[in-house]
Amino acid sequence: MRNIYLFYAILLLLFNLPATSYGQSVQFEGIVSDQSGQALEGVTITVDGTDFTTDRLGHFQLSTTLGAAVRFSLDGYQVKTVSASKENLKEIKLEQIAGKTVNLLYQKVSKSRLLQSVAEVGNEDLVKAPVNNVRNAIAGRLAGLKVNNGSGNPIFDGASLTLRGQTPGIMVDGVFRDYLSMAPEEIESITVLKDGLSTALLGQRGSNGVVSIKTRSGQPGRLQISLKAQTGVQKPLQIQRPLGAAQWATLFNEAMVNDGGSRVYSDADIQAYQNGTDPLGHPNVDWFNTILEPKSWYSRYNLYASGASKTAKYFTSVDLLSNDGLFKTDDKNPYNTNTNFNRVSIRSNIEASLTKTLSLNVGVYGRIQGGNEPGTSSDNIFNALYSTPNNAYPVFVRGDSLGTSSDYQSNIWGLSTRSGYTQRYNRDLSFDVALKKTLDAVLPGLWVRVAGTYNTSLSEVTNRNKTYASFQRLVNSSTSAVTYQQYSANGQLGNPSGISQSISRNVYLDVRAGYSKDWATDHSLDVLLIGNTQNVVSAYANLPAIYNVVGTQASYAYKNRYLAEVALSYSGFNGYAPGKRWGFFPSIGLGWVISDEPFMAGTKNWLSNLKLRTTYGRNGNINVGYFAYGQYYGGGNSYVIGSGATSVSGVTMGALANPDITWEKADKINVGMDLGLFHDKFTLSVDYYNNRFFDLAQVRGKNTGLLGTAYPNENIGRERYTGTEFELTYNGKSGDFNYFVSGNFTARRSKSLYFDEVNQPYSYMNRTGQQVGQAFGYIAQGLFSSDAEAAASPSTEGYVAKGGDIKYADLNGDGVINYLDVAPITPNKPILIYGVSFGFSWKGLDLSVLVEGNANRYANIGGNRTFAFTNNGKGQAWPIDLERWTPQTAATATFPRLSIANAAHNQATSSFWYRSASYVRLKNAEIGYTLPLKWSTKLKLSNVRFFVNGQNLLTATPLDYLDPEGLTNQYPLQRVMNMGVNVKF
Amino acid sequence: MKTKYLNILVLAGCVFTIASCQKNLIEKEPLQNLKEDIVFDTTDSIGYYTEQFLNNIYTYVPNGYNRIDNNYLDAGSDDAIASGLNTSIESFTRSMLTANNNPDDAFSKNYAGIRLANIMLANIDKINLISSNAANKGYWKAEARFLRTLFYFELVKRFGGVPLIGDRVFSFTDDLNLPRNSYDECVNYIVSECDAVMPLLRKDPIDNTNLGRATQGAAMALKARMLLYAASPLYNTQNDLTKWTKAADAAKAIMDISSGKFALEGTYANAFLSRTSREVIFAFQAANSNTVEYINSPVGYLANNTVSQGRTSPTQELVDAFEMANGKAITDATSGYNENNPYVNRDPRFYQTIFHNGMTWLGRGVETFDGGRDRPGGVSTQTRTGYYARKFMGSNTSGTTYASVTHNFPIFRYAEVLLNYAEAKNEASGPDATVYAAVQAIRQRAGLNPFALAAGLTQAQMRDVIRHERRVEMAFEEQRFWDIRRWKIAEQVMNRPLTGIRITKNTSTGVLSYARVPVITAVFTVPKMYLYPIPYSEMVKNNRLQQNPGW
Repeated sequence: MRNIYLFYAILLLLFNLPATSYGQSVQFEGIVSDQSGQALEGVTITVDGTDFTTDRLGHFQLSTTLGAAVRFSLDGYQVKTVSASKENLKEIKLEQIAGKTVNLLYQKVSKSRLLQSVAEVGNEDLVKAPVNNVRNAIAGRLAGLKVNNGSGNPIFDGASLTLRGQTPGIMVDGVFRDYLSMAPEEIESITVLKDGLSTALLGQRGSNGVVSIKTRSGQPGRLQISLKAQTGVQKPLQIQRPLGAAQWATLFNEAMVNDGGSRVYSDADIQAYQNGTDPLGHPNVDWFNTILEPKSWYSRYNLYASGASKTAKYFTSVDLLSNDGLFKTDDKNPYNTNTNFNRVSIRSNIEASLTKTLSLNVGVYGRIQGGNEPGTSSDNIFNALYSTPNNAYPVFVRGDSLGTSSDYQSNIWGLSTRSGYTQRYNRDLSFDVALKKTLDAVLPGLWVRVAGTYNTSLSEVTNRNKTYASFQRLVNSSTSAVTYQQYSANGQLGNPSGISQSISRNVYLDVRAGYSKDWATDHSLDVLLIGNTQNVVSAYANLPAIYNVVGTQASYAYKNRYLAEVALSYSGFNGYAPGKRWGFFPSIGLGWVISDEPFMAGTKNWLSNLKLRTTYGRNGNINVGYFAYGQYYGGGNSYVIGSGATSVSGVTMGALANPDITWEKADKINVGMDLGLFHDKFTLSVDYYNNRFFDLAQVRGKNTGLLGTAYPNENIGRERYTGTEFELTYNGKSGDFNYFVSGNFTARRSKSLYFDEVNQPYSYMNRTGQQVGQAFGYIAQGLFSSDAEAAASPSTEGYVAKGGDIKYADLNGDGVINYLDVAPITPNKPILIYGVSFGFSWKGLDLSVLVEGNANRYANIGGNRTFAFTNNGKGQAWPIDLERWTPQTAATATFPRLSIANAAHNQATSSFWYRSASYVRLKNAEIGYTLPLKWSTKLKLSNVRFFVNGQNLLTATPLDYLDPEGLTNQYPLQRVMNMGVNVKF
Repeated sequence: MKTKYLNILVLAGCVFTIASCQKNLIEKEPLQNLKEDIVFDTTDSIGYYTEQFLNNIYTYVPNGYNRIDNNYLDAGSDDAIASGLNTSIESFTRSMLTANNNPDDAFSKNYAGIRLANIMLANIDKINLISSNAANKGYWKAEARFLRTLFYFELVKRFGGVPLIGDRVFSFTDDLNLPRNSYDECVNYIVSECDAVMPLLRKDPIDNTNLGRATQGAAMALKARMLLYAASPLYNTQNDLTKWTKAADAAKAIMDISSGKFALEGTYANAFLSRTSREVIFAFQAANSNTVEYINSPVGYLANNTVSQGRTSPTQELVDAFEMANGKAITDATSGYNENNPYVNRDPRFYQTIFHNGMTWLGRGVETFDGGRDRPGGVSTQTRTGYYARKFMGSNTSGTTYASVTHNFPIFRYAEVLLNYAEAKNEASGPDATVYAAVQAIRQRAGLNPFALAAGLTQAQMRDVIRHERRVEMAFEEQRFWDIRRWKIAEQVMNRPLTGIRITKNTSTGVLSYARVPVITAVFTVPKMYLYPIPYSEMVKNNRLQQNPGW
């Protein structure tokens, strides 16, 4: 008999077909519904070890012997068991589990029991964002998490994550692995684990918090097949337009005169730039339009099948994504030089019941992704775009011979179309296998589980670069004869003998045992024991990093009102000195559900939930170099000895070892409150945290050169991060009109408690006591209004300031501005991170909007997208440079006087260039329309939905000419307008 | 029944999982890395890694090429300026040096070399070489000590007295609040170390296999240079003549043993281009290359489609210092100098040192007239003085690419020894015949005709002659930069506008006209620029360090 089940399980693995049921004796039938009378589809009904399910109308049929125990279960509902009789089975009502559940590290927990500080976003929100990387889909959706997306490059569409001030670890299905470029349809939820208790079982890998991804498993119910196709158009965000050649030349002359030189461009030159009468001698090239397409395309196709039978649950998804870059291409090339990115990913998660007590989980994930770039990198091209003036050289000097000049010796059109191409491939494979055995026969509620995952990644980079010729057009001033000076030469495509490969793999093994028991309604206990090891090979030259944890977690509830939880782990890492590898990480949490107290019975009708909770946890963080405890030799330089100029190898002492180096530690305290009003129509969660990080790896301040080598890291730094997070939701309903508003809001502060200082001559130079990462520089006090004022004021060393230069505060009063006048230059205010989303659904129509923002954020805008004539005058100039100081505009100027040779004074790091980079962004919006059921069923479809959505739609920021997130010269961020259709069978 | 098997399977899986946590199939720490017991292996009879450890210390020997923004250090003296604007070497030209920003901050680098030498000395006695190699151990030890001494010299010429740390190899937990030793203590240490290691080093001339290693001559030359510096006005404020005598004696000692060991090259250029030259006593050794050519040739030259960079612009002051080939200064009315054709019949060393307009290079004439290919105008880096630095380069007058040639940077060469002797002897006891002989030997080799100096020069006149000879003979060899400091003349020669030449070409006649123009105003702040500041980053980490005057 069981052989047949096994056979079916295997069949399922192969074909994902739902199995049918077997039965005998008495026939029963009935309907399962929730408390409101809504029929429930896909309820699993277990009797005699056989599973049945309800259909779309909640109807079921089964046959068993009279009086047999029939068990009804459905995710999100409390399990109900009745003894079989016609009467008992006729109408079954399942009670919804109060509130939602949350995916913690290793288990799903009801929100009502939750002590940890976590935030979660579900599949329904993730699928709205037309992005490659789900990092960009969670911006603004999770309290405490800051997502910074600095580049729109389709290949490197990453974003940095900051969770309560730290860079969180990324886990997929309970294992550290970073696969965030995945299809959102594959994801059930993304949870950020923020406090010390939630990451306690990670031991040395917990203190930065975790972004934990749970992939989808099969939904109870019949087979559902979803097909989604979408395509969108992308436009770069905030590309600022440089000045035209005539304006550039005018300002350049002004800068030359300011420097004591003479005008370089005559009025006739400027006229020629203006009129475009001499495109070869006086070019005025709009490089952005020359190189870039105005838009590029994005498309994604997803197919998944999900379902469950009585012996197996399955989810299988295939996803195709393609995302094009912005570069124009040249038809003459028999290859593509535009940037693009393509991804194919396949995921299959199957859970099979091998016996009544034994289940097998198999997860397979495969991803092939890669893309193309111009031979020189796209970032190089954008760098050239931001630093080449319009009059630098013409695109072509003759025919298709590229123009250039001796100052540049290259050509941007050449960079983007004649530098060959680079292809990248990444292949990732993951296998997850888990066996779980329930041991109810030994002790009801006891189970054991053993699991393993194997992850392997390979990345290849094939550089097929080439050189290209460009020509400077030279006109002999007396004879007017034209000659061409060639720079570089047209070459063949590079044919690297070996592609550059990097391979990584990691193996994770995990053993768990759990026990849960409820004693009537008074006590309930959940215990988990866990041991796991992960072996990570990231470079074949190196030994693997091995992380081990054994831990236990016990949670206890008394009358569901008094909650307590303890988690302890003992965690090891092989990168420390033998005998110093293992550490102990305890944590505890307590909670009190006030609203369930008998004395609160009177308020229950409006105060549906009030819970206080607090946790404390000691977490660790591994931040050491490769076996940094050992003193090694190697890596010396070779020298030349002998008359044959023979190179002889050298060996030197490697980085100085610190034999005592160990993990960093964090003591994290979290105090929270959950409030629910009017049957949780309105909910509010408030968390306050106070995280003290200590033993941080830091090089001591007094690292004198007399030692003769660099000082090693020591565990000496201390920092504190504190913050408050609010999360609120309101769900309303008025007839067919459902609406919601939800928001999250974070205020975060940091303080460097101990930074190993040098003997700072002035207290304002101290780093200790400042916020972590505080920027230091000169304090700007506006612009000098006149030469006289400048002459009477201190100036930077060796520089004679004039009117229009930045005036800096001489903090130590020594009459000169230098490194002793460097102080904090941004206000020490808490950074505010927030996201607000709202939306409604009405009949078939639905709308949702996400607004994301930051306040009290500061950024250095200095650089070649702000300064004119960087790189000794070869650089570009920008509209903001028109606001420069001149004697006539002294009263209103917002930008220092122009200079080429003496720019160091004005371009020094100072508060002048630190500007508010706060912003509010309409991050995402989606409008959808679902066909009425009567129409879609006619098409033999269960659901048809059309949607239009967009990403990065609008931005408001005081930085009017730069994107607040994309401040560097990278590929600009993209605004995406996307539309598609989702069909379910 | 089946359940039982499955249970066993699960159990076995658990046990296996736990077991595999315990068992390491690979080494527990990275054995791919060398450790001390291999580098200083007691059983290695050839000292394989010990020798390599010493080789690496040699890479800390100062290399004068591509020094600061690819300029020669002398671009911070009155001999040259940087072609690029706002290059960091200008902080020397214009006294913009700060304790926090010194482009020639050699403090950490030299203490790093000293540490490595001390590690070598602390461990070398562990190794046991077989008898045929046994002598190496003594040589290696002496070489490490010599290099350590050279590193101290590099510190002392920049900063004055510095902390002497002896043979100690510090741990990062040690208290390193060390005070500076006095200048005299440092000089005595360097001299005594030179004396001590000299007999232990290889004899000159060194065999071709070991060419480049420190020899007895190197130790003697270092001693002579140190004593010369210590006797100079900057340090010898009382003009104690015994210091000059010691310096003269130290140089003389090398001249006395020079037979068969050291000699001036017959051709000036060979002193730099011949790897086995007897003139070179010690040099930073490098493989053959054309990097020097690419970095310093005039900017209009493309060799192999790569543009030359022309980093250093020699000043008109240096150009004017070169005499005419007849040995007369250009200021001498009888020299034959023609302001409208200034580059003919000059000291032959001029053509080895300076690129001037019209000189042939890669098959065409150098064009440093306004608008010429090597001075095109605009904002790109190009000469600011009308000249480029030609020194050390191979002969590339024709062809389309630069030949790869020897580019060892001379640290000590015999010509310097002669000039050291002449200077010290002249100061100690006046211009006797040996002083004349030493200077004339240099002038004769240079190809001046006649090379003889006027008879009957006073001590002061001879001083000027020697200083002039040092300047033109050793231009760009990192001598002038330090000489103007130790002679205390920097406050005169570096406190005035430095000039270049502006050559305009008549577009119709092609006739060139020459005008001297100021190109930068050199500033030399006294007294602080005479010594480097102890780096600010060291001052704030060590509360017993005393800063230099003026900083």
